[in-house]
Amino acid sequence: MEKELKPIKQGPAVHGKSQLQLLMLKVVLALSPALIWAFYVFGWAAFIALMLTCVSGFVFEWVALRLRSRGRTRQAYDGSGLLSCILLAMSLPPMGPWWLYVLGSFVSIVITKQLFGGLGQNVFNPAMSARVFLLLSCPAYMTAWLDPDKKAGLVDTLRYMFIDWHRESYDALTTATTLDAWRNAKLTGLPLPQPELTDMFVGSTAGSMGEVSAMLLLLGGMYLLFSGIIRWHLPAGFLAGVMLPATLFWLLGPEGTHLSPLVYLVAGSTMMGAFFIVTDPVTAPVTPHARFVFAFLIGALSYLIPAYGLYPVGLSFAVLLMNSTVPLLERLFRPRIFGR
Amino acid sequence: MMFGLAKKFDGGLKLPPNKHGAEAPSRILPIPESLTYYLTKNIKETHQCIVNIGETVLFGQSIARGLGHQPDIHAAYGGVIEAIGSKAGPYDAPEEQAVIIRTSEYKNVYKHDDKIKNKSDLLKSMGVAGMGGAAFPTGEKVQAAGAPRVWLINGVECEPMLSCDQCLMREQADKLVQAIRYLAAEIMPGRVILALESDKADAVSAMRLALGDVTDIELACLPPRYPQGGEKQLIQTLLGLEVPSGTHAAHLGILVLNVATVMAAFDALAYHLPLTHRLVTVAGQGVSAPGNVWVPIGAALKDVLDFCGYDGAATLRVTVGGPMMGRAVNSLDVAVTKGTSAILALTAADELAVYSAQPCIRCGVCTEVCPARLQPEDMYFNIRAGRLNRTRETGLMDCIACGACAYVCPSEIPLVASFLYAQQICRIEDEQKARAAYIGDLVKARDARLAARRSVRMGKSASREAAARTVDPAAMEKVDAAREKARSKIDK
Repeated sequence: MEKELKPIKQGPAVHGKSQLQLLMLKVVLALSPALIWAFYVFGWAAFIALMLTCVSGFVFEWVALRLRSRGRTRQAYDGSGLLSCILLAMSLPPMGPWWLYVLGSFVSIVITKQLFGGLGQNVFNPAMSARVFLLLSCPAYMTAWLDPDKKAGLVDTLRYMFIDWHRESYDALTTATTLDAWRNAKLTGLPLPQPELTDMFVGSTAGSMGEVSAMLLLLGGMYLLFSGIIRWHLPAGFLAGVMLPATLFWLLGPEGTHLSPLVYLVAGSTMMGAFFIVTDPVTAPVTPHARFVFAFLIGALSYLIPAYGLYPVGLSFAVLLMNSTVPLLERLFRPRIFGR
Repeated sequence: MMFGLAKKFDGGLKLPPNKHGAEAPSRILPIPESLTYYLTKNIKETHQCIVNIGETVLFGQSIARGLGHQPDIHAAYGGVIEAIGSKAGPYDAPEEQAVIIRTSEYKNVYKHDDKIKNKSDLLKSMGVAGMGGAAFPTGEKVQAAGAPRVWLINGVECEPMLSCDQCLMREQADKLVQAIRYLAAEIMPGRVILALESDKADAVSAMRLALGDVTDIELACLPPRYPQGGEKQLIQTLLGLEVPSGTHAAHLGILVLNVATVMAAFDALAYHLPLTHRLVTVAGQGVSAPGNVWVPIGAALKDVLDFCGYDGAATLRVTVGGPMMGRAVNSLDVAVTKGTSAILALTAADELAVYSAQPCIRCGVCTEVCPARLQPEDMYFNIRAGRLNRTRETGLMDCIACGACAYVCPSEIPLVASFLYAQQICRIEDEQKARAAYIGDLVKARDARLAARRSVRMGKSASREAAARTVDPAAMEKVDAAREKARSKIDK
């Protein structure tokens, strides 16, 4: 033998083209149309919010990995942290105080992800746990949604976000999301507003970056589905989970007490949940049946919590609740082994 | 990564065929200077050498008897036995016991006597083993299947790069049909199905032509999919049956033989010709003339690779067998065995696996492609955590090591390597447990025997027993004296 051959490992000598980093980047690519649209709708605020979350998230991840072990810091570049941060930024209000985003990325990256053992080990969805944390800690800032018609210029936005970040100072610029407005009206007995379905679908209503345009999120979701990055079980389960109770309550409930299921279908948050939130592979079950049930229950809960619960948003609570049932679901829906 | 259109067996995936040199006519390897035959496999003795150093053997002469069902080994060319000793082995064990022949005698052919009539014994004595890769003794397989309900002839060859079965079917279609008919008359199967994949158009048309209008042999042309050629997967695809866990196809009354094995079995039964040569695919970017080569079993990989224009500088890994299930070798002195379907010289251009083992993100693609419906990520997690029993419950021993999971894993986790490792540990544990149980049984049997003897004695004479228990001082003195005597003798 003239020359040493590569060390021997059993298993296939060749490998397919699928790679972790590439996978993460493809998901980011799928999110980018909705993101770019959000930049257009909300102006500088959205861009600064995203940058704040992603940059602080990267720093937190690098430091956490470094503290855990010397050789691990290269994992900070695998793209998973970036994706978590983008998803987090997309589920927060587009304009808020700077610390909202930094605190969010800290909870998401350090507490939910790295303290549980890093990529692949976290039990709870990083973006959703940070969102719940912020919603419970500072509800005032988490329910002030920038009105697209009143977006500010760069200087004003910077002032609102970094210096004059007190809630009251930019109160005039914010409004409620379509679903929130309807819910508030219903709770307070005011006349119910009629949601503009087309505006919601295309995306020109108030909300987080991740719920602004259902259409572009659907586009990204279709890309993920047809490039084989996600399977149909999770999004289909989620959509069925939202639509089934929504339709039932709408049909059976008294006139005018429930929103039409169509509103939920064109809501950006539904599309975001279906294609980008419940599809987080780490915190979802692995087997197809378990995946469908998992996503279905998230969908149903995310309809029921705002409809009958205390909080205006249900998705993040539903995701965290179902995250904790994943081992159970996997045990219940284990496929029968070949020949047994 | 889009999987699935029509699929019959569970899991699996479409792989790039990369069958370079498949269309080229087969070539014949010039007679190598020496031939090596392994007497052990993973250090366990499988064959008993029946020749001595310096002895001259003829072409086809038996040089080692297979232990148990193992088929015998025959010299592929005549020559002188040069050495019997350790030699670089193809499997995990770095060194195996082997017989080495220096070839010199090419004219005379060893005549086997025709005494053996039983077909499975004849297959064993003519050295016929499965040529699809696992080299399972064919005699044992045929015997276990009896008169099978269905006889499947496996020409699927689903692994990328391999084309030796395709080449064989294309070049020797008529002989293959003749062989199938001859063997069908011997083993009397209910149905005969020849299965191959539709992307091997030349082999398909050659077989169609050779079969003509006669319908005694059904031709099943399957859409290509990996690992369709696995015995259990092929049965599931063609017959919709699942071979029960822990059993073989014979359990369902099905016999599956590879096309090359069918040819070898025909030669053995009809002409008493031992299995000494096989068609081997030589491929990969590390050889300039890829293709199929008739190689004497026992030839060194080096000889075969050099014949095909081996570029040692560019080659990073040499594997014996296909790129999915084959195994990398440390040394090119390793010899071709009956199960060597391919020798691949892989370079950086062949998309080599690196197994960087990044964290698992539970994407679930491994579960999707697993033909045994296992959860590779879960098994890997349990193995890493040292929970071997849990891993077993979730199907470790049902893993067929097809490599589909490791191939698709985006984190490039060495899944198959860890499963094979865990399987090995489980087998060793089982062996130890079985041995301990056997010894426990022996001890119990002995205790029972002694108890029985005692009770018989007690029954015979209770008084004698009582007398034996009381010590007679005079007798004790006698014993002590004798002991003293013996001790002094030893001292002297």
